[in-house]
Amino acid sequence: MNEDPLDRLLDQARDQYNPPPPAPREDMWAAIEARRGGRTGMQRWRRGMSWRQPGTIRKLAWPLGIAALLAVGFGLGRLTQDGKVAPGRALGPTTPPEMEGSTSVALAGAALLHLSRTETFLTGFRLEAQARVPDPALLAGARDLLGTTRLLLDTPDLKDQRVRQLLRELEVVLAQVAQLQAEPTREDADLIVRELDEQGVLPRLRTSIPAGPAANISGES
Amino acid sequence: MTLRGAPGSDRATIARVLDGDAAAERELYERHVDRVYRMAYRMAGDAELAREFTQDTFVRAFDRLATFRGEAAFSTWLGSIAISVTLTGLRQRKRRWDREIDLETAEPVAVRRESLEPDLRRRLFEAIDALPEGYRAVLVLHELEGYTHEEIGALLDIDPGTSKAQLFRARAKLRTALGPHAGDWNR
Repeated sequence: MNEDPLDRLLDQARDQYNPPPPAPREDMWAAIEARRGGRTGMQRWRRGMSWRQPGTIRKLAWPLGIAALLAVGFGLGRLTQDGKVAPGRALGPTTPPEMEGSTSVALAGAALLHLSRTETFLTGFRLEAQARVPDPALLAGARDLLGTTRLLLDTPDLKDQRVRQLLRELEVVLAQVAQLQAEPTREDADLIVRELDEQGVLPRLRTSIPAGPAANISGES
Repeated sequence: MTLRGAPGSDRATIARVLDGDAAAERELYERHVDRVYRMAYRMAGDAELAREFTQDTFVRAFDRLATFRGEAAFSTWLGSIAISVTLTGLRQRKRRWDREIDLETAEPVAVRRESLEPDLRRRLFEAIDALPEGYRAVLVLHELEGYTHEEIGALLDIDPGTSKAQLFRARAKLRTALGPHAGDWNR
C-alpha cells in the first residue's frame, strides 16, 4: 500500500510544529490562585450561596478566621494594657520567629497571617504583570489588603518596628496596585513590579513569615 | 445533581472542590494541566500565550465547576473550555505569530529521526497557519495530537462527521498550498 506523502509530512511535523515545552506548572498555579483569590468570594456570594449549603462554612473559614484573629488581637491588645507576660513565652511546642516589642499573640498572629496573604497576592500580581495587563478582578484584592494594612498600622499594640516598617511599605505598594484597578496598563504595572523588585519587598515579606502553620506564632498574651 | 465517583477519580475530586476543599483544586489542576497547556501551545505557538490560555482555562473551569453535570468526562469538559479560550484568545488578539522569525531563530527540537527540509517545513507550517481556524484546530488535534474525531467533536461541540469533513478540507488545502513544491515532498 502506498503511503500518502502528506501523511509522511504531517508525521514529521508532529515533533516540529509548535512543539510544547514542559508546562510551567508552579508559575501558572500561583497566577491562578492569585486571580481566584481576588474574586472567588464575591462570585460565590452573587450566586446566592446559602449558609446552610454544605461546605459554606468551610469555604468561609479562612477569611472569617483572619477577621476573628484581628478582632481578638485588637481586643486583647486593649484589654491587657500593661499586662505583659514573661518574654519568650510561646504558644505551641515550637519557637518560630517572635515579634519584637510587646505585641499580643493574637495580634502577632493576625499580622503574620496578613503578611502571608499579602505575599501570596503580590507574588501573583508580579507574575500577572510580567505576562500581561493585570486582570481588574485580581487588582480588586489589593483594596481589601490595603484596608487591613491600615488597620494594623493604626493599632498601637503592634509594636514590632520591623513589621510596622514593612506594613508602611506595603501600604504604598498596595495603594498603587489598588489605583491600577481603575485603568490597568502594562506600563504602570511594570513600574510597580520594578519598585517591588528594587526595594526587595517580596524577599523581606517572605523572611518575615515563619514557615509552617501560623498557629505557631509567639508573642505576648 | 450530586457528583459521585470512586475515590481519587475526577468526579470524587470535583465533589471535594465543590465542598470547599482547596487542595482538591490543586489535584485537579495537576492532573490536567499538562494536557491543557500542550493543546494551548500547539494552537498558539507561543509560551506566553499558552500560559495565559491555560490559566484562563482553569480559572474559568473552577468558577464554573458547579455547572459541570458529569455527562461527559471532566477532561473533555475542560478540553472544550481550553479550546474555546484558546481560539477566542487568538481571534481577539487578531495576532499571528511570526512564523518566519520563529523558524529562523528556533532551536532544533530534540533529536529527530527524519527532519523536514527547512524550506519545505517553513512552507508546511505557513500552510497550516493559513488554514481557517476550524480546519486548523481539527488538523492540529487529529494529526498532531492524536485525538479521535469523536473526541474532537466533543471538544469543539461539532458532529464527528463535521470534524472528518473539516480534516479532509484542511488536508486538501495543504496539498494545494504545497502543490508547486510537489517535487520536494512527493518523493
